Amino acid sequence: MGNKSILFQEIITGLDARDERIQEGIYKHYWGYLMGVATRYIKDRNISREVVNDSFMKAFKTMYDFRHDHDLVTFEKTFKSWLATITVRTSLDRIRAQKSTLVLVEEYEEGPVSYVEAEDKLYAEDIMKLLHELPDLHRTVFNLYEIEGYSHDEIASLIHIPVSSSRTYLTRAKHKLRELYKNSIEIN
Amino acid sequence: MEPAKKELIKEIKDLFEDYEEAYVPGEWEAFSKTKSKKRVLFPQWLKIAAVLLMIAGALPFAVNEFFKDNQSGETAGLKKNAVNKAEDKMLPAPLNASGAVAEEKSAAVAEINPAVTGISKKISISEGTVQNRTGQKEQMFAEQAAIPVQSGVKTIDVIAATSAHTSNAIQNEEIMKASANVAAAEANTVPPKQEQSTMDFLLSEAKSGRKADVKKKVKTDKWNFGLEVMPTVMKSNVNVGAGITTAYRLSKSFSISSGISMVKLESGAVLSQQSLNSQAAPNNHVSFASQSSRTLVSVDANISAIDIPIGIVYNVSRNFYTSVGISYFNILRDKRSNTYETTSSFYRMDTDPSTGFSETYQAVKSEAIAEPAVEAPMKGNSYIGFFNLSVGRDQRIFKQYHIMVEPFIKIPVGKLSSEDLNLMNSGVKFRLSF
Repeated sequence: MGNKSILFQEIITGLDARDERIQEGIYKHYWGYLMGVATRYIKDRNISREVVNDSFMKAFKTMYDFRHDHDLVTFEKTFKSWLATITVRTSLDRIRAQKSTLVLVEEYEEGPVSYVEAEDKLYAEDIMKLLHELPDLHRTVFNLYEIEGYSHDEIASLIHIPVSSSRTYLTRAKHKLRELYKNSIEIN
Repeated sequence: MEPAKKELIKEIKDLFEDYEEAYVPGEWEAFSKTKSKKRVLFPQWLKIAAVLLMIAGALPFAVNEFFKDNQSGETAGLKKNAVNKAEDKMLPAPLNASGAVAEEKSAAVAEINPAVTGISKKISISEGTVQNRTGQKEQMFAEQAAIPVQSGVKTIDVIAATSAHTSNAIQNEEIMKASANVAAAEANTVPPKQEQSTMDFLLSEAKSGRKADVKKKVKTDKWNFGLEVMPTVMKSNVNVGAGITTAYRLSKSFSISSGISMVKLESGAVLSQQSLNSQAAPNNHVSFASQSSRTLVSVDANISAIDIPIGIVYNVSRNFYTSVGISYFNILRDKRSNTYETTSSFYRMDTDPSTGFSETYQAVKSEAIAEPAVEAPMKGNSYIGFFNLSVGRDQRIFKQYHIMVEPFIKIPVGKLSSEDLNLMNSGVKFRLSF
């Protein structure tokens, strides 16, 4: 039994017993993952840290009601995705709080770029930089659809925009990303 | 062999799917500190319950005090009037008496208001009578006295008399004039018909006081307060709420009712197949081959809220009434649990027994997962949440208590109606009012 399995077994037992001591293990194990999620939405690292801490706070309040069937593999997957969902929503709340509404900050022309192959191995830091060059709304829709796997209907209700706008912003975000990526390769 | 290059967006997706940063030591310690700071001593619902209890406890006393104060204020006012009137009536007596017994050597009017002087001139006709009375009593001593007299409306005159032996009628006359002037001034302010004794006066005032009390009592009957419990039935669950109510009678048929109650609504919603399909479609379209799709199948919500209804009650007959109104609905706790259906596709290799060839099948695995939802979309929202309709029967028991049985229906309006939960509920209110 690996370290991970032991950790998840402890988490499951702790959840059943409503034991607060498991919180430290959960925090340390998932902090890096949730920071990865939060920084995709929020550029400022300090704010991302706050978002992650807020997310843990929410999770620790409700996680003892997390229903599972004691299967380690399923639990690992669903618990992780549940934490990510919390972080995504907390990030959206933070973006909303900073701006009165999640609005389109700048418009840009849609380029002709429709297909770009990744040249070499991609590095998260580099892509993160490109992502943060997108307007908030476009980046948010891109993240929600492409990475989190939400549908356009869900995105529309989450960030209070029409479904058609969600589709448009996604297309624009993809175009812009491809363009930015091409430019970054050409410079290098 | 060079690995096939992937499209950029697909590459980004894969990159971030399991991307995680390295844990920075000290983060947990910092978080623990913040967490212990943020930990609240009492949960919010407990604070609200305490406030409600305090209000419920203090309300009967406050109401009693309010009416008591009004009554005592009124009585005090009446008493004050009585005293003033009694003073008005009785004040001349000692003056007369002092005038009667006075055989002072000298008297000085320290300060005579022009008004009083005027009055004394007017009543100089009665001088003779006073003189006669004083003339009967001579050679008497009086102690030095200072008599403050309230005259009419505005002034206080002080008549200082020094104790001395006197045989001078003129001086007596002067004193008596002054006394008579003051007495006349007082008499001028007192209605001439007040010939009744103090006892009679107090008795009549006591009677009128009782009348005032009766009037007040009639007023208090316009308000009534009550306690209520209300089992409610929603689409799938039965819930219970409780609270306090108040009503103010506008006229014989109409009254305004209000109150505050704590309600708990448990609701479950199964999303329609149509909406499921529409949600699942984009996901399947994009990544059917390798990615899983996740759709929300049902939502279970557990809502605790404070309901402040206000409505108009129409008394159809003595025992039956009907009411319409709206509710201000403040959601304190909105706990949800989402059930997702995860569908993942995978390839399966199999050998066809008839041909012997191995074939690849695409299979789909689906599982349902329930997760407590963290977001509370309605928590803290305060808006007019329900439209209330009810009819009721009012049964009087004992002298002052009423039992009311009131079937009602609450229809969500505004933001509540746009939620994916059906919060429409109905039930029966059982109310005890007094």
